[in-house]
Amino acid sequence: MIPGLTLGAPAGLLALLGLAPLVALYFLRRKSTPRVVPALFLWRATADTAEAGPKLQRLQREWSLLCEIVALLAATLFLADVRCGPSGAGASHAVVVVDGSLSMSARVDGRPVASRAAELVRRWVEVGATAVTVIETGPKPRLLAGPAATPGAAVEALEKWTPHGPAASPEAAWRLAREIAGAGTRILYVTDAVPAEAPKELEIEAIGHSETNVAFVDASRTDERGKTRVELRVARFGGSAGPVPVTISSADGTELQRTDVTIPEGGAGVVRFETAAAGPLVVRLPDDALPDDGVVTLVPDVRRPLTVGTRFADENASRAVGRVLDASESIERSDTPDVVFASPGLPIEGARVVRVGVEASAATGAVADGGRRSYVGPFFTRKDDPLLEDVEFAGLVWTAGPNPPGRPIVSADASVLVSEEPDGTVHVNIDVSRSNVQRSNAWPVLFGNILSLARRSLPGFAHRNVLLGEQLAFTITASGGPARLEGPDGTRPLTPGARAFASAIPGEYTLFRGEERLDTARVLPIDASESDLRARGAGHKSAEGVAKREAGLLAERPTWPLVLLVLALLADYLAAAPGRRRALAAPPARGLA
Amino acid sequence: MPDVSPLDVAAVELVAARYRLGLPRSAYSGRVGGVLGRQAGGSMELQDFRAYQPGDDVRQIDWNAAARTDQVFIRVRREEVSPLVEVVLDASASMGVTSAKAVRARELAWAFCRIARAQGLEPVLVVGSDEPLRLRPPELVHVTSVASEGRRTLPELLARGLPVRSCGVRIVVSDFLFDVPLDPVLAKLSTGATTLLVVQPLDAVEREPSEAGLVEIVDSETGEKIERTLGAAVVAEYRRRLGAHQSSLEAATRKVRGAWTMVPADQPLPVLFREHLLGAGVEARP
Repeated sequence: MIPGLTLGAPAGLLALLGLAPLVALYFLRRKSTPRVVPALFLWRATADTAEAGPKLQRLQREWSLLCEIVALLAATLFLADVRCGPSGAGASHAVVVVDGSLSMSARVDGRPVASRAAELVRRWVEVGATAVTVIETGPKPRLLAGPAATPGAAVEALEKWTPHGPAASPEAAWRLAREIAGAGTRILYVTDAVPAEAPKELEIEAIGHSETNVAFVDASRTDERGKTRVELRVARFGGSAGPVPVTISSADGTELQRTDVTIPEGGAGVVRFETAAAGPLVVRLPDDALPDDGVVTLVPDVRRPLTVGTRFADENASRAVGRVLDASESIERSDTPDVVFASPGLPIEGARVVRVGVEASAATGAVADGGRRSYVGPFFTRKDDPLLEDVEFAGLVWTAGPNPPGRPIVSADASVLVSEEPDGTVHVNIDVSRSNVQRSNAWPVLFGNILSLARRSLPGFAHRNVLLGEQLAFTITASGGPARLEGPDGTRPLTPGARAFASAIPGEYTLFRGEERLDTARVLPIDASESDLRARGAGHKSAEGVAKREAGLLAERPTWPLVLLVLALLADYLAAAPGRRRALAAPPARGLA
Repeated sequence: MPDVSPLDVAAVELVAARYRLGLPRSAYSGRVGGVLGRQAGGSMELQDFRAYQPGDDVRQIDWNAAARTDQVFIRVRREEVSPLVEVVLDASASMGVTSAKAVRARELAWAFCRIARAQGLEPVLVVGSDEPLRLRPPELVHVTSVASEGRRTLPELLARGLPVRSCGVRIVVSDFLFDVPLDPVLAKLSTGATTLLVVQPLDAVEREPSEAGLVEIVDSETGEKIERTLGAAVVAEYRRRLGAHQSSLEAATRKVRGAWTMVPADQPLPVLFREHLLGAGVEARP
C-alpha cells in the first residue's frame, strides 16, 4: 500500500485486465497490410533515407501504445476511486452516529437491531466513502471508529458493537459529529425511532420495530444485620395483563425463589425477597424482545464499619461524644480509627479528625470570661452543608470559645461554632459544660451527619447496585498506591479526588488500589425508558440543505483521472500515424492497387 | 491466383486493322519473301557493284560499266526475305501485380502478332514463363491463357536460354523491373534481331503509388518482404528511383539501336497504340 494513497472502490482495479488484450492488439496491429509489388528494390533503396527525417514515424506505434496504456490506467484509477494525500484530505468522509442505548439491543426476527445498523452503515459507506467515523450516543459520546477510519475498520467495529447504554440525548453526539464532519457534510444517524427534532443536515435512518416487553424498572438491595432484602419493580410495556414468572437465584445458579408477579396492562408489579445474608443474587424474567433488561445481578451492599476513636482532655466532651458513638450503628471502636474525635490541640495523625471543645489558648475574637461566650441565637448556618442536614438550632444554648480554623459552617455573632478545614477536619467549637446542645436532638443529628460524611469518605462505592444511567459514586483517598477502576468497558486510572463517573455500560465495576481490591459495585441494565419498545419503529428522514450523495461511479470521485484519460486519448489520436488513417481510407486491392 | 482475365479481342482486332509495324531502313535477314533482305541474293533489285573476281557469275557483269571504265564490274543484288517477328512476352509474376497490367501485356503481345500476320510477316510468340514457350500460328491463341506467375525474371530466363531466334523484328513486352544492369539484358535481347522494340507496360499504381501507413511490401517474384511506412518522402523517392530506372532502360535500349516505349497499362489497347506506340515502331495503315 502506498502511503497517502487510498482506493475507494478497489474493484475498479479489475479494469487493469484490459491491459493484456491491449498489448496483444498492439502486436497484432504490428502485422501491417501486405502489398505485393513488382520491384521491391525500388522501395528498399528508399527506406533509409526517407525515414531518417520524421523520427516520430518510427515511434508512432510505440507512442500510440503508450497513450493507450496511460488511458487505461487513468480509467482504472477513476473506477478504483484513487485518492492521494492523508486520509481525510480530499477524501470522502462519512460520519455515522449510532444510537448506543439499550433498546438497540432489542431483537427483531431473532436479530438485534444493532446488527442491522452495521449492515445499513456498510451499504452507506461503501458507496464512495474512503474514511468513516462512527460515534455512539450516550451520556458521553464515544468513538467506535475513527476519526476517519477506513470503511473496513468502521464496519468491523460495528459488527462487534453491542449497544446497552442508558437513555441519553443524542445532541452531544450530533455536535461531535458536526465538528468532525465539517460544514456541508452529511451525517447519518442510525436509531430505532425517528426523533421528533433533529438538525436538518442529519440523515436519519430508524430501524426499530414496535414490540411488547416486560422488564425490571427498578431494583434495590439492602444487607443489614445479617439479612438480605431485595425489592424489584417489574413493568409491562404492551401486551395483555397477566402473571410474569420471576426467578431469583444465587450466583452459582441455585434457584432460591420463583414468584409469579401479576402485572396489569401498562402497569408494574413488585417482587420482594428476603433471605439470610447472601452473595450476589441473579433475578430473571422470561426472555422477550429485549432480554437484556430481564436479568439483573444484585451484589451485596455491605459496608464495612466505620472505625472511630476518641481522645479527649475534657471529660464532659468525651461523655457527650461517647453517647452518640455508642448509639450509632455501623461503627466500631478501633485503635486505628478512620475518624478520631478529640479535644482541640491534641496531636492526631493518620485519621480524619473531629475536634470537639474549645481551644485552650486565646484566639482572635476572644471575649470575656476566659474567651468563652454563650449564644442562644441567631445561628447563621450553611443550609446546603451536609453536616447540618436536619440539624435544628432552635432552643439551643451554645457556648463557644475562640474561633477555630477552617470554613465557618455555623456561626453566631462573631463566633464560629462549627467549621471545616480543607483536609476534612471538623471543629465543633463548644464548651459542653456550659451548653445544652449535647442534650438536644441537634447533637446526635449533627454527629450522625459527621459520621455519615466520614463513612462516605471511606474508599469505595457509595452505592453498590446502581441503575443504568445513574452516577457510579465512589471515594478514593489520596494516600496509598495508584487507584484504578476496572469495568466492562476497560480499566481507567483514578486521580486522587475522583468521586464518580457516568456509567454507560451495565456490568461489574471494581475499585483497586495497587493490587488491593477496595470495593465492587454493579451497574444494572435497568432503564424504563429504554425498556419501552412500543414507540420504536422504522423510518427515514433525509438530510436538508446538503448536497445529495451520488451513488455509483460519480460519488464524490476525483476528476483528475478523467482529465488524464481524455488527454491520453487525445494524444493517442494525434500520435496515430496520418498514413495509417489514409491506409484505412485506401481502396483494398491486390498488389499496389 | 494468377490473373487470366479475358482479353479484349475486339480491341486486338481493331489495332491489327489500323496499324502496322514500322519496319526500319536497315536490311532484314530472314526467309525469302516480299521484303528485301540484307544479304545479296538473286533478286532483280540492284544493290551494288564490285570488281570482277574469278569465279563470279559472268551474267552479273555490268558491261555498260566496263565499256565506260575499261574495268570489269559485276552487279550485287539484295536478297528478298520475309522477316520473322518475334514477340517476347514477359510472363513473370511482376507482370501480374495488377489485373490490368496482366491483361494489357497479353493484349499487346497478341496485337503485335496479329499486326505482323496482317502485314504478311511471320509472328512467333515467346512466352517468358518458368517453362518458356515458343508459339507459332495457330498456337498463338494460347496467349489468351498465359498467366503471369513466373518466378524467374526475364534476365534469368535469358541466362537459362530463352528460346529466342534470329528474327527481323523482336518486340519485347516486359516491365523490365528487375534489379540487374540493363545493358547486358538489352544486348541479349537485341542479339539476332534486326530491330528491337521494347514496350514497357506499367500500371498507374506502379507509376504513381499512393501514400499509406505501415505497409508490408512483398516482392511478387521472390516473396521477399520489407516493412515501410509509405509517407510522402518514401513515395517521392520511389518515383525518383523508378524514373531513373526507366532512364537506364531507355539508354540501354538506344545503345542497341532499339526503341523503348512505356505504355500505361491502365488505358485500353487502342489508346496505347494511338497515343504511345504510334510513331514508336508502329505506323498507321494507309
